[in-house]
Amino acid sequence: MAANRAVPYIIPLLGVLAISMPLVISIPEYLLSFLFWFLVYASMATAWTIIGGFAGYVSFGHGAFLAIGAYVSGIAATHLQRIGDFSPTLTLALLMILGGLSASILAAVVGFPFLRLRGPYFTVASLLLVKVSYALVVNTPVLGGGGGLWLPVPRLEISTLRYLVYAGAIFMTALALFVAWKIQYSKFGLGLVAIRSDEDVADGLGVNTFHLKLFALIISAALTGAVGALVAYERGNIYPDVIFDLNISVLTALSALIGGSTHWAGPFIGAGFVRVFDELVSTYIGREVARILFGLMLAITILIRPTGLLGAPKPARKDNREKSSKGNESG
Amino acid sequence: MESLLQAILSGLFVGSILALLSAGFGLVWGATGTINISHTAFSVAAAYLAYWLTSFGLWGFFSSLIAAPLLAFALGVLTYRSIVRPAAANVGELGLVTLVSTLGIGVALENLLAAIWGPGPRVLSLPISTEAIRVLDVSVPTSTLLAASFAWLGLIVLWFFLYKTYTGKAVRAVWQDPVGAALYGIDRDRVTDVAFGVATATAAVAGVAMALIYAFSPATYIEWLIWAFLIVIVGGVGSPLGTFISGLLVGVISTVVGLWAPFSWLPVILFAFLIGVVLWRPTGLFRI
Repeated sequence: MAANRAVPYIIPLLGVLAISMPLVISIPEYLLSFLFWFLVYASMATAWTIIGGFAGYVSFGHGAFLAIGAYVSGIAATHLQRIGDFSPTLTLALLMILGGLSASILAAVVGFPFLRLRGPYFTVASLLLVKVSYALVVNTPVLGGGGGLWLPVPRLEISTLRYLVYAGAIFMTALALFVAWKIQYSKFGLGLVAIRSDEDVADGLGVNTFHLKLFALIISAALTGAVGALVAYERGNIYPDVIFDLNISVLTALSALIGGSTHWAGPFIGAGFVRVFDELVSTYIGREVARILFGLMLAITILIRPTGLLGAPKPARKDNREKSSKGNESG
Repeated sequence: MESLLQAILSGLFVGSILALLSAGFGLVWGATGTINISHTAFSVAAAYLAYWLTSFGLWGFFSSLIAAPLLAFALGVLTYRSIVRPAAANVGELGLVTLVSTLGIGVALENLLAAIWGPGPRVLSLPISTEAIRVLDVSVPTSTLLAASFAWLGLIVLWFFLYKTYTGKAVRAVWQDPVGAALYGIDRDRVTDVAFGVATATAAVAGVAMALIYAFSPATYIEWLIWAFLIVIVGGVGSPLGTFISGLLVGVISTVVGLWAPFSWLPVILFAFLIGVVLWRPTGLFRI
C-alpha cells in the first residue's frame, strides 16, 4: 500500500527534475520549445482542475482568464518600458503578477452570477464568456482589435529570453502543483469534494458552498492569468484568434480529464500525454488528425471515467438522473 | 420606415431558418436531457456536403437536400447509441457528461471538415440568378427566399412528425413523462433513437439553408450552436411552439438591432443577452 501511495509523488518529482535539466545543461531549441509548451499546458490544466476537477464545475471559459492575463500584461509592458529601466526578470515577474491579479478580478466578477449555475449551465456560461470577451476585444481599438497586440521587444538575446521564460514556466507549474496539492489535503479541498459529490447535501451540512466555489475559481483564474502573461511575453504578440482559440480550453480540460481531474498530480501527467501525443501525431500525420483524435478522446474519457484515469471511480447515481438532466435554477 | 420593414422581413426569413436549426436541439434536450453540442456541427457538415455537391451543378445542390438529412439521420442515431445511451446508463449528471462528450464529437467533426476543405470560410453560391425579388418596396434575394422555403419545409415535416405520427406522439409522451410513457408500453430506447435521428436530420437541412445566406467555416458550429441555445432557452426547453416563436423573434431582433448597432457589435449584444437569460431563467423564459 505504501509503495502504491508513493507513486503519484515519485512520478511528478522525477518529471520536475528532468524538466529542470535544460536550466543546467544545453539542449536543442526544438526540445526546449516543446518542454515550454508542455509546462504551459501542465500549469493551466493543474489550475483548471482546482475548479473543474476538485469542485466538479467543468469550465471551458479558462481561455478568457488566459486572455485577460495576456492583454493586461501586454498593455502594462508598454507602460512599464516607458516608466523606467527594469531588468527583464523583474519585468516578467511584474507582468505575471499583474496578469494573475487581473484574471482573479475577472473571476470574482463573473463568479458571482456564474457559480449560481450548475452542471451544464455553468459550462455553457463559461463557453459564452470566451465568446463575449473575444467579441469585445476584437471591437476595442486599444487592444489592437482583430489585428492583435504587440509587446515591446525585451532587451535580451533571444537565447537568454528562451531560458528566462522557461524558468517562468517551471515556476508557474511548480506553483500550480503546490497550490493544488495544498488545496487537495486541506479542509477547503474537502469542501470542494463535498460540492462535487452532492452540493445540496454539502450545503445542508453547513459547508459554505458558494464561498468555496468562488474562492476555487479565483485561485484557478489567477494561476491561468499569470500563465497568460507568460505566454504573451514569450510570443511577443497577442492575436485574438490564437489566445481565444476554443481548442486551448478543450485541450486544457482534456489534459486534466485524461490524467485524472480529482488528484493534484493528474493534470500534469495528462498534459504530458496530450503534448507528446499532439507533437507526434501533428508532425507525422497531421494537425487535424491529432485534433480529431483529441475530440474522440474527450468524448470517450468523460463517458467511461468522468473523473479521469487517476480519479476516484464515481458511484452511479441513477436516481438523480431526472433531477440533474432537467437543469437547476437554485442559487 | 422602409428599412425597418426590410429588416423585419429578412429577420422573419432568417428566423425561420434559426427556428429549424434550434428545433432539433431543443427536441433532444427536452426528450432525453441531452445537451448535444455536436448538433450544429452536423449542420456545418451538411453545408459542406451541399457546397461540394453544388460544384457538380444545380442538381447536385438539390440532391444534397435529400442526401444530407438521410446521412445525418444515420449519424444522429449512431451518436445517440454510442454516446448518450451509455452515458445515461452509467452516470448521474447526464446533461454535463453529454455536453462534454458531444463537444468532443464536435471538435472531431470540425477538424475532419478542416482536413478536407481547410479552415477558411466558404460561400455556397448557386448556379442560378441571385438577383433580388421586389415585393412591396422590399427586396429579398432569391437565395434567402429559397433558404427560408427549405426551412419551412423542414418545419412542416417536423410538425407532422411530432403531432401526426405515432412515433412523434411517443416522443412527446417521453418528453412529458418518461416513466408514464414507459408504463403505457412505449419503447423509450427506440423512440429516443428516432428522435435523435430526426433532430440531426433537421439540423442538416437547416445547415444547407444557413449556408445559402451566411459564409461558413468548420469552426462556425459554435456560433450556430449559440444561436440554437439562445432560441431554445428563450422559448422554453421542451416547447416546440416556443422554440418556433422565439426563433422568429430572435431573427427579427437581430436584424432590427443591426439597423442601429454596428454589425461587429451584434455578437457582443447577443451573447451578453444569452448570458443574462441563462443566469436569470436557465429553463426558459416562457412556457408555451
